[in-house]
Amino acid sequence: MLALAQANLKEAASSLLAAKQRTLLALVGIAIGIGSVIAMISVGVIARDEALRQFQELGTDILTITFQHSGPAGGLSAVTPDEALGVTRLAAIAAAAPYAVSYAQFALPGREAKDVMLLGATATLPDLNKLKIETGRHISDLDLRRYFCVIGSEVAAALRATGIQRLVGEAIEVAGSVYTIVGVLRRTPKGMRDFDVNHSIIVPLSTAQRVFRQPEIHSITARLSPGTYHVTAELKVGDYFRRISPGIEVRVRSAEHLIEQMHKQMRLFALLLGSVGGISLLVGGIGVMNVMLVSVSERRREIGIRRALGARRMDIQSQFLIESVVLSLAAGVIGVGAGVGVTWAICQFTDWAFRISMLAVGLGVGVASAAGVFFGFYPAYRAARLDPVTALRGS
Amino acid sequence: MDQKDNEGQEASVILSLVDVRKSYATGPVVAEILRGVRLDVYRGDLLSIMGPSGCGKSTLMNILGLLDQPTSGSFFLNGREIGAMDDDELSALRNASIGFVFQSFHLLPRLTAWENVAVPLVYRGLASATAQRRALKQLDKVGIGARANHRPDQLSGGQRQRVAIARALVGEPDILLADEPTGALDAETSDEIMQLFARLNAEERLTGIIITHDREVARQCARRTRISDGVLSEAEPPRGAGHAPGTGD
Ligand SMILES: Nc1ncnc2c1ncn2[C@@H]1O[C@H](COP(=O)(O)OP(=O)(O)OP(=O)(O)O)[C@@H](O)[C@H]1O
Ligand SMILES: [Mg+2]
Repeated sequence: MLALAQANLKEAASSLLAAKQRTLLALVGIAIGIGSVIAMISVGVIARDEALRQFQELGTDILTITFQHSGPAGGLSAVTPDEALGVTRLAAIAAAAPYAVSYAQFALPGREAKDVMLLGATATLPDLNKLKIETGRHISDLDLRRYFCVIGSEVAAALRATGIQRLVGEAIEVAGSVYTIVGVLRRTPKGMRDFDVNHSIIVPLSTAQRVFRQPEIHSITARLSPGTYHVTAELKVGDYFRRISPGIEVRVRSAEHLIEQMHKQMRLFALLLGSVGGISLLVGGIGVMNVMLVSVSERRREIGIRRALGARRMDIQSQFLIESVVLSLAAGVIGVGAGVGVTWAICQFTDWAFRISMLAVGLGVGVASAAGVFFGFYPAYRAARLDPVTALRGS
Repeated sequence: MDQKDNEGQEASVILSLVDVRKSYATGPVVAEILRGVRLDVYRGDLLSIMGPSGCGKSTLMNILGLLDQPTSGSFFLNGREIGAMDDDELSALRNASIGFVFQSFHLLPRLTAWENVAVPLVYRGLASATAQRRALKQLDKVGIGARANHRPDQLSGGQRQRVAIARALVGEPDILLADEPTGALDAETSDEIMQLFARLNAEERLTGIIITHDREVARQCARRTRISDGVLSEAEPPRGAGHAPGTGD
């Protein structure tokens, strides 16, 4: 290593340490700037990944079709199961799982009643919603109008708590009907689904048509045919339902659609955080410039001595530039640390999977050194242009 | 411009000033401090400059040390006219040819003795290890090798000046410029420093210009000069046609 580089680094560190208070202030400014940028970027990235993971868990080719309030009078609009299943005749739709929903109290002897959701569903529901069986089997098309049910993990847990070991084959009473359990579902995070399956009891749709007070279909989970653009499918699906039920309000959401929206939001977020980070960096940068200007004027004599010993203007300039980069970089490292810490805390709080975004860390360190060069340039230039004789006289 | 000295060797001119003038403008008033200085310095000369305070000794020293430019006149260093050089060339020449010693030592406070001595070598682009080795050797030469790892505030005035002398000499300059090198030292230490100069002058043909207010110091220099009214005059001309280096007391 050249002695010059080594000496410069050492000198930079020791002179910054000598001016503790001023250095500390500038350090804090830059650190806050970098730290907040890092935290925001990391949290943003983690939140986006989390959402993407949820989308992708369900599959990006899944559409959620819901029927909304229609007309000025409002009220839920709905379709019949046959109308709903008719959507699969569209080329854009490969499969559909319409379901009817009914809320009920599930009472077990000696326990508090639990709120459960009754889902009247077709055999396609588990596949389209990625529901997995733990024991027993799914509802099948052969269970037409039978009083069979598949129960979610929370419902199963409640039953097991009463001492029942073999759930499959047991009969349970819900909302005045008795159903025989044919299967128990694995625990499944809610993710992007419209219902929490763990607290649900799934019965055949044909059965639901008889027992539910409102057996109409309000929601359909559908799968795009391979290679279909989601926007096309959304339009076709809307057209289809408006044709069979004029005035109906159809809302079609696709994972792709939501991801696009999310990306738009992320861009806005990035702009926002860019300006916040920019402002704090500017404040910190001015702090760095101040530290360096004071340092230059306090060390005029040193500059004079160095010039007398043969330092070129470039040598003086780079010495002070290195000093301001060391200062900014130190602040950047502190900022990165703080930002990562805040991200970690947020992840603990929100239960997201914590990870360090290398992009954010790289950006933080890069921006810090760039700030060091940018805000250190003018003071370093001033130092380099000092007249050696005047500088040597000091004061 | 070469002359024969007593032993018949070539005594080469290291620097020469021809009609050097320097004036400062303070507001509308222009004060001419140096009014036509002529001086030839030969290898091995030990030359003192005396004169009342404010007569322009340091001004002349700054010009000789390439830190300042004369208002008019010519300055040749090793035969090269320095008037046409740009700042980088002057810096490189200063690094290669000039060694400074100041009244108030001017050591860099955060560096150790050997690091201070290594600075001129560092600006020459030498590797750390080489610079350190040469710095330590030079400290030994001026008799302060044992203090190599001390910082300036851990050294006495005389020790600091020795470190400064080591720093001035480590790059093997053509000429040593000392502006009141003993001005901040007591009589005894001052004498030690002068003996060091005399020894280096005798043993290594060190060329030196020493500004001083101290007659004792001046007495130890073979050539003695004064500045008065902006003009430099030699107390007695060099003996014979040439001069014998190292003949100071
Ligand atoms: N940059 C400057 N601007 C104006 N006047 C100056 C400047 N530098 C020096 N002078 C003047 O030039 C004169 C000579 O100064 P110089 O420092 O050379 O004196 P000196 O002989 O070294 O004195 P001392 O023995 O006190 O060190 C002084 O009157 C000083 O005020
Ligand atoms: Mg002076």
